[in-house]
Amino acid sequence: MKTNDFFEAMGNIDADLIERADKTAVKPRPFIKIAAIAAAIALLVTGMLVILPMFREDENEPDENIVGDAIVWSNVFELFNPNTGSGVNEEAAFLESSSFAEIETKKYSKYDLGNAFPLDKNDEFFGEKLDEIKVRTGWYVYYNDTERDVVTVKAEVYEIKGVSTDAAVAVKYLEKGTEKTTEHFYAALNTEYEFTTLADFLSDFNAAVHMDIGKDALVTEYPRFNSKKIDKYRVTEGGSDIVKFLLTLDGAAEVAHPYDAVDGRMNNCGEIRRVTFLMASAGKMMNSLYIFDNGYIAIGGPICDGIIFFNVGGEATSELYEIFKANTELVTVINPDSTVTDGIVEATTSAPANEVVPE
Amino acid sequence: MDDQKIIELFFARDELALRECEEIYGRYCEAIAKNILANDEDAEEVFNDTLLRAWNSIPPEKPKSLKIWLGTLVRNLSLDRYRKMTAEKRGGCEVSLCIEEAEEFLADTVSVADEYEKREFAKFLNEFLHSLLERECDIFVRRYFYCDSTAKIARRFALNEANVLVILSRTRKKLKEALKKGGYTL
Repeated sequence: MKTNDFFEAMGNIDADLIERADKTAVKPRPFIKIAAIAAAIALLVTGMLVILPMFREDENEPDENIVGDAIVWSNVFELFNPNTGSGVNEEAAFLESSSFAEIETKKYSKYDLGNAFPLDKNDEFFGEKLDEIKVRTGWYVYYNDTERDVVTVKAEVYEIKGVSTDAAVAVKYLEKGTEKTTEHFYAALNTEYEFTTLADFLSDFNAAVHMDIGKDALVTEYPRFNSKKIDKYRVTEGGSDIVKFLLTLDGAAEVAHPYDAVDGRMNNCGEIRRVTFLMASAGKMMNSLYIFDNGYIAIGGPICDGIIFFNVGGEATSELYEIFKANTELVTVINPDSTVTDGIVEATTSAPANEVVPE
Repeated sequence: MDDQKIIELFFARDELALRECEEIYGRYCEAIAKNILANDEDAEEVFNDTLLRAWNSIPPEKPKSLKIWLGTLVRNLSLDRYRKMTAEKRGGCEVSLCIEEAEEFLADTVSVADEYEKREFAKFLNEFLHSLLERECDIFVRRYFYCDSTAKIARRFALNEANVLVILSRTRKKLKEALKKGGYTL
């Protein structure tokens, strides 16, 4: 076809498309960089982490409000930190929590090193070697904000099969340095990866493989963000149905600024029902899925604990919510009698004394 | 003055219609022409040709939106002039880049020779554009209808230029796939 044919055809497209393209103009705002989201995530993570320590505390002391099997809760830590239970040795998992690693080699210096993939997935997940790099590792000492035992070690970069290298790669250490394992692959996310739609994001991260909502995965429903009433579910059989449906969706990524992400979206979600899934995905490339009533979903992770919002539309989120309901069972309700009046949360006397609820 | 009144002036053969079109839509039309021709004098000449064509077409034409009708006319006339001017050489304006981009995804496609095939292809292209997300479609239209530079598109959509290039590249790939499925490839 001659280019003339194409340009001529473009000259005959529907007037409404021409008009809309002329009307569209967006107020300037900084584009999403994943690293920039991290600061704002602390606010949301605070809400989430408040739940998890509670689970761990209750691990050996089942709450009398729990309807289902109390053993479910002992799996929480494993589900949130999949590496501890799925083939990665505990030493590697433990060391990650207090050590740091930064890629020094310029080409990959914007990639944030994350969690290790399970050992038994080495052959399945990783493709060709891409490069050799240097990584600066050490220990971060929280109490006095210093570093110790800092060394630079050699490592290799590999392709994660099906995942765009613009989005993420895998790093394997050649030298142990600060006692890092040399057998595991670590996910590394490009903090400057720019995404525009959900479909591209899910494709670039090979979500069909790496997004996993398995049986017994934990789900929390906040009927209203500011309410103290929280419903807790676990996935029965159909977590894959949730993922399959998600993979059919598309929508524009729309978070404008990390602080807007909190102010504009999450606080608005005070008026909107929110469902949060914890996902057990290998390499922790994605660790949570949020469904909002207002047509947005958000995906937590990958790797650097960012949260990314996508506008998929109200119909899609309604259907996703129905699939969630069909594939989960209610396990417990916190503060069942809590009500919200004109935005002011009424205290309830029925909450168990050891329950902690997000602010 | 609104479109309805301007069209009435055309029908009444009152030349005030042309002055109104120039005042209200002149900048819009000249921006499109300059995108393609990269030359103020040529752009102005094409705009004048556009007004002449409008005068000779209305009536019997009765455009629903004068802005879009004039914009389409000036675009097509600009492209015609561009083709005549640059039959042998290219470069110096944005449209040559647009053409190069189009050549890439149009390689291995069949030609659309007769009027029926052209109409069918136009229908196909419309369906394709309507299948895209709004922003994807708008960016594609700004590039290949309006021939905006990627820098201009980035400013309009509050994106950075690299992102616009990625979006355009992905949309061209989708179009290429659609052309293949639609039987337009060799």
